[in-house]
Amino acid sequence: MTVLNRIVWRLLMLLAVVLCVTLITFVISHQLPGDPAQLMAGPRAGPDAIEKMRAALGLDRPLHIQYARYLHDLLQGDFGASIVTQRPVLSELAAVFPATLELMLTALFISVTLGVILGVAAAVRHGSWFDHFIRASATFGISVPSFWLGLMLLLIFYGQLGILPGVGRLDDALDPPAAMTGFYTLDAALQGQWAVLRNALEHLLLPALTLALVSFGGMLRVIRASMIEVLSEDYIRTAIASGIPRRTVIFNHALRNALIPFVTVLGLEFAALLFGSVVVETIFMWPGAGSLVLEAIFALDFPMIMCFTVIVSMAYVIINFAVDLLYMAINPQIREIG
Amino acid sequence: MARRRLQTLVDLARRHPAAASGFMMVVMIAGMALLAPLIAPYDPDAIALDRRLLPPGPAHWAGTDEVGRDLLSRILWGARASLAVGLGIVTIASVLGTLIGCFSGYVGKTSDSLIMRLMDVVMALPGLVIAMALTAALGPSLVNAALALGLLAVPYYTRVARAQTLAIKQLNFVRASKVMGAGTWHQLRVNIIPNVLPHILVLMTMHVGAAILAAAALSFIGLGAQPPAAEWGALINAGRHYVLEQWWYSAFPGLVMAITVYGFNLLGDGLRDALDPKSKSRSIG
Repeated sequence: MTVLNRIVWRLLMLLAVVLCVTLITFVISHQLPGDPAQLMAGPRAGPDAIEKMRAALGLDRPLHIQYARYLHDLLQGDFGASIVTQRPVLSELAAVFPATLELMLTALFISVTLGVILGVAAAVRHGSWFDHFIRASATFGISVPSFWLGLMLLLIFYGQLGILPGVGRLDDALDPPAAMTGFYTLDAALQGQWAVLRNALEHLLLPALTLALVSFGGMLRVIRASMIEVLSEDYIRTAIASGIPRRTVIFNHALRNALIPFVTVLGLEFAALLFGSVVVETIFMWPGAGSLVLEAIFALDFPMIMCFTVIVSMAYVIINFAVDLLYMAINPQIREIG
Repeated sequence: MARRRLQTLVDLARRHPAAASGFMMVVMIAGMALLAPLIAPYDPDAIALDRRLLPPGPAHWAGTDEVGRDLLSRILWGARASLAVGLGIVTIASVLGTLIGCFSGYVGKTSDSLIMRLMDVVMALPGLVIAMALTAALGPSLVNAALALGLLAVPYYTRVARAQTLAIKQLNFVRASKVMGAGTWHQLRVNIIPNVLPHILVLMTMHVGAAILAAAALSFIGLGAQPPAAEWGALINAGRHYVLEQWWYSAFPGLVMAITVYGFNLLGDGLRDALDPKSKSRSIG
């Protein structure tokens, strides 16, 4: 398979996945026990009014026509209106998304740093007690429920020690910085509001750490395994034997090759973080997409739930597509053999 | 004979200490779940309003909840729900995945490529988010959560089953049987599936921990087990509102759950290493 074929193939896959997700959300939205026309018309509407609403919503047409219309609306960015607030769900979701993205990127940064440093350190001391200890903690990391870990961190650092703030993105006394990126930390730094920056970082730490601690284990395991494999290669032994400093060999020669399989894990970890953010945002009352969708679940606000599902799924497949491109770019073997 | 068998087991445990300790944890938790009716000190649903939110003590080792139910008893009974849902997810995924994978691999041609492309699509879905949407739509319950999570995990088993089937169907005894006139179903039942099963069992062991975590996460956000059912995720969720004052409410169920999942993960890793010759030579040498 040439590189071009591979890219075309991945694009087709991407399309199939998006179709599949929209089909699932469409069928869910239309086979629900409740009657959307009844819901939209309100509890005191008579049968005539409900029929009228049904026609207005296009619910009297055959299912495949409705699906085509649904897709058509999605392509226009029309995901429908929230049953609770009556406002377009997409703009509601877009308004809170920076908060989620800020949390996820911080978590990703922490877990990649932890995963790479500890993974390399364990691989270099392969077989030692340090290696066993790191490996055991990585396995424990992927075994701990994130929602429980978040509660325990909250209990220790907020409840017992009182050194970190508990919930939200900022103390109530502080005003959020004027929105430029939507990231409180970045906006505060750009506008030189150092007190706000410090406070925003303190609020960010516990939820980000919760997400990071449950996801670094997977990364560490991959880095460690591929690092051990690379370190046993002949060219590494040759490099060490020829007198190149060990540090240079590890970081410049070995790590660069060991990072290749790691890239594919990043895409998968992103999915885990997306769902993890739903759970962690609830615990820390983080006003992001996760909190919003959770409220929607309790209010049976299906347009909101389906919008979240479609957007997250699309983000997921697009990121994995990007990761695949990156993988081809940094792995010369794939470029040559294909 | 019995002694020699025991000696083999001891040797095995010595060679794979991590897997052995994982096995011990799994056995311990499974024992707790099975014996819950016998060893639980109280009725897990018995309300005692005069003993609300008591800290851990001699009468209630893990404390009590907001209506005075004994938490240790609820954790023990919760082991049943959590293990059952974990095993349920793994069973749904493995049975369907094995059947589809073996069929796909044995029949080959167009149906094989169609099935495998469909599996690629399912694998590319963000599983937990889709499961969340499905469970919200089907109605929150532990059974619906297990169904959604189980169905979304089918492709992992399909891939392994298909790969093994492709290797097995080249072997002489399978080809001979085909020449003698064996039909597809007979071949699958007698020759293919039994030989694929060991690999599926390893995958199942590695999957149980993640399945328990996923189901508990859905319960935690209110989509799985419904009150007053004692299930670990639901217990942690119920204790969430009391975490700063009554830490034991959420702490103990989560700790037991982490140990359970850790045990399954250690055991799964060990089994995989034992089947994978590359890592086997490493652990012996």
